[in-house]
Amino acid sequence: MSAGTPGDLLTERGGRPGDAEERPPAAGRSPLAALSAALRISRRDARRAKGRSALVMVMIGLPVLVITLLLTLLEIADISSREGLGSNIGAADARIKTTSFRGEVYQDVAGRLWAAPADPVESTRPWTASEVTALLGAGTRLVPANQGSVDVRGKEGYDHVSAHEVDLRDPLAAGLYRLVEGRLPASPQEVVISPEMRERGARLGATLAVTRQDRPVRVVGVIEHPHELARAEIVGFPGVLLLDRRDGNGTGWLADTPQPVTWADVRRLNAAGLVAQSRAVIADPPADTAPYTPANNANQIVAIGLAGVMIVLEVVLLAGPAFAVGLRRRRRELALIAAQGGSPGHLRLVVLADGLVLGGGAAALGLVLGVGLACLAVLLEAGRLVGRAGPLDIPWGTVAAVALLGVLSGLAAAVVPAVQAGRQDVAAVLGGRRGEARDRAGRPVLGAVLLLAGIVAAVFAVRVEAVWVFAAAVLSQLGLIALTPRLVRGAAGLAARLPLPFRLAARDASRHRGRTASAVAAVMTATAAFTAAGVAVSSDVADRRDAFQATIPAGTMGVAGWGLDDGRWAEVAEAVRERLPGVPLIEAAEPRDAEGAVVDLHVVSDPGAPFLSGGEVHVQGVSNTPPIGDARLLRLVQGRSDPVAAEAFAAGKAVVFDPALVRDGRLKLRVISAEDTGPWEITVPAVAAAAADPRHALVVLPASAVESAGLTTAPRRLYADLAGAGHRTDLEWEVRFERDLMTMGQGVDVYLERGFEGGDLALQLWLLLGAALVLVLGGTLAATGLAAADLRPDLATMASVGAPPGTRRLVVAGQAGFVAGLGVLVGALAGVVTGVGAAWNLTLQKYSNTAVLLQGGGLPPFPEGTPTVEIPWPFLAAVVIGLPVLAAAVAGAFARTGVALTRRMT
Amino acid sequence: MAIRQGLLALLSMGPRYGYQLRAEFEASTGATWPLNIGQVYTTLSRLERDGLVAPGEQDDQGRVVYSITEAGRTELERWLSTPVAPSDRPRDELVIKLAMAVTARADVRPVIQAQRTATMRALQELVRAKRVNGAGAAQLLVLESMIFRAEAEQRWLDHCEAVLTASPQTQETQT
Amino acid sequence: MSFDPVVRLADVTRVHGDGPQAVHALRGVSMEVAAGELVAVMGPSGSGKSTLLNLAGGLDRPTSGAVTVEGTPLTSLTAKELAALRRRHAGYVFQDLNLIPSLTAAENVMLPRELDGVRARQARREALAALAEVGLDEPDRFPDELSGGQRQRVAIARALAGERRLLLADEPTGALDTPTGDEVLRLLRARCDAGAAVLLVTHESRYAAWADRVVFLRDGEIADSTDAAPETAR
Repeated sequence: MSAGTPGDLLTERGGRPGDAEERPPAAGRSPLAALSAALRISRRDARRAKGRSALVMVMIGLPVLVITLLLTLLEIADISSREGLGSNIGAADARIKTTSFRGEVYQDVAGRLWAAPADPVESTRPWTASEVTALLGAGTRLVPANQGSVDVRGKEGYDHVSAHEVDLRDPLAAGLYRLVEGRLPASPQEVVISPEMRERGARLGATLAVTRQDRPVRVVGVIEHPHELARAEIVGFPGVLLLDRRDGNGTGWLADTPQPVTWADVRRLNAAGLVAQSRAVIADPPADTAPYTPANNANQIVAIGLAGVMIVLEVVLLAGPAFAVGLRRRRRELALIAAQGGSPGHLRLVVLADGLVLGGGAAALGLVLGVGLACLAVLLEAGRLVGRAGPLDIPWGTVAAVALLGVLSGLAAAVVPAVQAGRQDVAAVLGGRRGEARDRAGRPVLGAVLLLAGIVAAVFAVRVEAVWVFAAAVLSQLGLIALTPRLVRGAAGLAARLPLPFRLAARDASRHRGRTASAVAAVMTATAAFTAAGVAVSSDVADRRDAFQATIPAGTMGVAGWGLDDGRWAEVAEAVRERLPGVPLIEAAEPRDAEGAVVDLHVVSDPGAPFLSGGEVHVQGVSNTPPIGDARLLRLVQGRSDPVAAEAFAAGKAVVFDPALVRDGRLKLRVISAEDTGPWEITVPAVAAAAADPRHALVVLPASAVESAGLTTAPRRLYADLAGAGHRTDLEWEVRFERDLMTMGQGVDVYLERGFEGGDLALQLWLLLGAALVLVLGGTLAATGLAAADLRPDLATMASVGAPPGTRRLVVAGQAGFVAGLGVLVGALAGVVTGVGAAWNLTLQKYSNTAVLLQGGGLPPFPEGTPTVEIPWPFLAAVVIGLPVLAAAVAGAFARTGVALTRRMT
Repeated sequence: MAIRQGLLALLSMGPRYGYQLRAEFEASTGATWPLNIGQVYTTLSRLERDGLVAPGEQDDQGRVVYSITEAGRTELERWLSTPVAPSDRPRDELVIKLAMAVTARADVRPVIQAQRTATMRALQELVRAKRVNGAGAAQLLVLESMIFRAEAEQRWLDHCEAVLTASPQTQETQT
Repeated sequence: MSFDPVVRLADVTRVHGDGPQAVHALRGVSMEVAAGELVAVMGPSGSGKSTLLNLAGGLDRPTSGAVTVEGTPLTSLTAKELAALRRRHAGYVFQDLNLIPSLTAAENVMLPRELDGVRARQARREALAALAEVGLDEPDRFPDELSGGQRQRVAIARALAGERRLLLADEPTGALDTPTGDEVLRLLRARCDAGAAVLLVTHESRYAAWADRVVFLRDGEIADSTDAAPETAR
């Protein structure tokens, strides 16, 4: 009260209120004073309403935390060129790698990727150290350092592991590895191994036989790669592990140069056909390099953007009710501020400050916790669990963007209440009347327009790429959100015939439409997203299941020995026999051309056949080549005995299990050769027959049919009906079996037909259901919890007129059911439509048309044919019926029905 | 009636002369209850007759000091502990005036309004007295009593107005 | 002394709603309050007392007639300008729950000044002075730690913080017992005597009697009015 006496007041009367706006800024004025006052109120209010604040903070903070943690962990697991410098070039200035060319090559900055021109100059002789020294300048010291892989003799054959030839005692090699145990090799007879090798049975002090020459070396130490912890690796002296010393086979040097190796030096080396990883270049990359710029994938960007939009949208909708309820509680407070001279703008500022305080606090907390947890993970060397450990590396830019998004979510959630706050009737609130500016019925026109626009966009998006379908669906979703208040009102109108508790719940929900609509929209959005994903995934899997075609029945194992000589094949067959005692083995043939070179046979279907627009039939199997063999093989593949087919087979006819493949009694095959002779087509006589399971049988060829078409055959296949023989296998057995056989020589291949694996469709649906459960329940319970506070006077009134606690419980349950039920129903409907749209694209449009569209290639045609659409009914039922019932039950169970005598505050 | 007990109350604090009693009585009641000295002596003689006070020796200026007797103290206590019955209060002219006006079907509203303004003025005077005066607790109590009474009268007037304007017989006078 | 009234209502009418449901809250009311004057408005509930007060501070707009505060006609002002006018020229005190519960006494008093762009430090200095003037020596307590009377003191300090001299009080004693109510009136009276113009709405004549002038409102019209008491007569 600075104005003390009437005299003072008189002198002050020069300043009139009308021109007060133009009053020159006196000392002590600040444009931010109002904001700081608003922030103070929000901060204190956030502390007073602890429950509500915590709720909002969790809703905003949790996504920020999870995304921050994920991004940071990814960044830590990702070893950039700069981080990998030590493990790549040790203490050297550069690592020089040979290529198989002596002409110009092109490399990326890091020296990880390189390419040769179209007509490369082939290398004729290996590089010598002095030649390389000459390129790098006088005073350069080179240490040979070769990388590759080597066979190590194990108990049951050879194991193939990484190999590095370098004298680790040299100072230039410092930093390549950490010595864990023992010492470094001091002679060509000594090697060190990685911990993974020890896991596979190698012992410190023991002798290993390396290379196919079984060269004996002694293990003198265990070393660990700084980042690749799970790699099986041997390090020894040059010339010990790698036999192929030709250029381009991993040979190279670590170089210690008088001057740092510049990009110009690197380009000079490239011109000679060498590739260099230079410390100076990697540490400070030049701007104008890299023929390899990672192509930005538009689809990926759209997908990331969509995920961001959906997360922010969901957070905003979830937090919306909390802000709406907060606003209702603070109506009088805001009216008081208005009475003290707060303009509508000030009132909006106060409510927005809520969003800023809660969003900012949550984002900061999420960021700190996320980064903190990531740091903890590095400290505890959690990377060992996944075999990769990088240095702590926080992508600050991205993480800050995520946090900012969190703050924006908070602000966005406060926008609608803020606008309402600015519109409220101050005099009415102060007079104790409901001064709530009436909730608008959403923006039905805008909503309808958006919904329609989204549907139209989706029709176009089907031609391009599934991700665009989802993008269009987001547009429709926004429309639905704008329509939600209308939906709430309509649904509440339908509730008029329900019993009292539910009627009351629906009426109350409709009366507080601001709060209810936001919660319904949150539930709806989550449901739509997960239902759409569920339908899309199910349809995609169904499509793949329908198109699934294998050459041998499920449970059958095939072993192939590509191009092996007879002796080696006999060894392989013996090894298989040893490992599968008592299982009947059926020998089959591999096709070869007239010169005896191995070829592949692909079944060719004519256009119009039930496979993609004609062409080769892609099938699962040890190769695309159908089994070639005898009657036993036919019996195995057909899955039943069929005398008619057997007779034709014996007569040299191919037995085809898909009649569409037989044209004029012949089957067309394409011969693909590794030699330069190029593919050509042959036909063999064929009959159609029915297999026990047509999806696990395509064709069985008699050797005679292949031979009469000008090819030769040799027995190089074994088929074993493991399931039929009752041979139980587990993954560990399979892995060992496969490794054992594969180490017996190049060309040995093992394939176990498992039948169609829908992958983990069930698991995916469970995950989607789980996520939907969390969001639907979270959104519903948050809204009902907040509504319960508003509802308490009504419940007290009900209690005073004699309603039993059960009835009051039902009211709360009814509210939860109303919110969840309405949201889930509309959401599932939208989701199914979106899912069908996505399935349309996924199952018919095999290639992404985004690039075509972006490069101005015009709108691609609408995909033809009937899409495979599979609605996951149990999943849908669980979402549409299960979730609302569960939400209602939980809300009812936890409803506080104790009567609190509440004073109605006006 | 209350003058007797008032004097007894003053005497219970110690013997006093007659003129002293008058001054103290007026001070306590905030001069709202003027008392002439004749009333004081008449009352004292009645009290003396009833054996509730006893006069002392006359001094050289002819003044007599009165003191309270044991019977006087008993009487004082009985008075203090006995609630005042409504019928003991004097009849209110205003009430009679309004009742008669209603009975005679006169327009009551000007009566009420005039009275209300008058009462408000009186109330303002009382508040002003309360505000300006650095008076003692007893005097404030008396002032408050009168304020509350005036307030009650105002409320009663409001009530009368509400009731009478609502009843049909005065409806035409309202417009 | 003779100067313009701080607030003047000229033939003010306020109708809520329209059509057959229209409610005439005020019908052609004219009145003014000068600096140093305490005017009480009495009347039964529904007589338009609060509407009158809301109009006087620009919280509500008249259907017809003119309201002038410190010489500025409110008719042409936007909502934003009306808010600025309240920040600078008029303060409200209500019956109860006057204060923002999450702000301390001092911060409550600072609020209108801060909204007006005054820096927190200066606003606090002014607030402490204002609180000292109303006799509150615990400026850093929260409203729920103060008694009802103390809360009203804070509200009065806030209503007059800055350069304001129009105080609009709507039943400020409604939630108080009579001694505390008298205290509040004594304070209002003191602010009035220091030059403020106070418009007091009350239904209790004991408080109205503190006023220089009492206006009786009935059915939206001024039914009667006591003249200014002799000592404050112009």
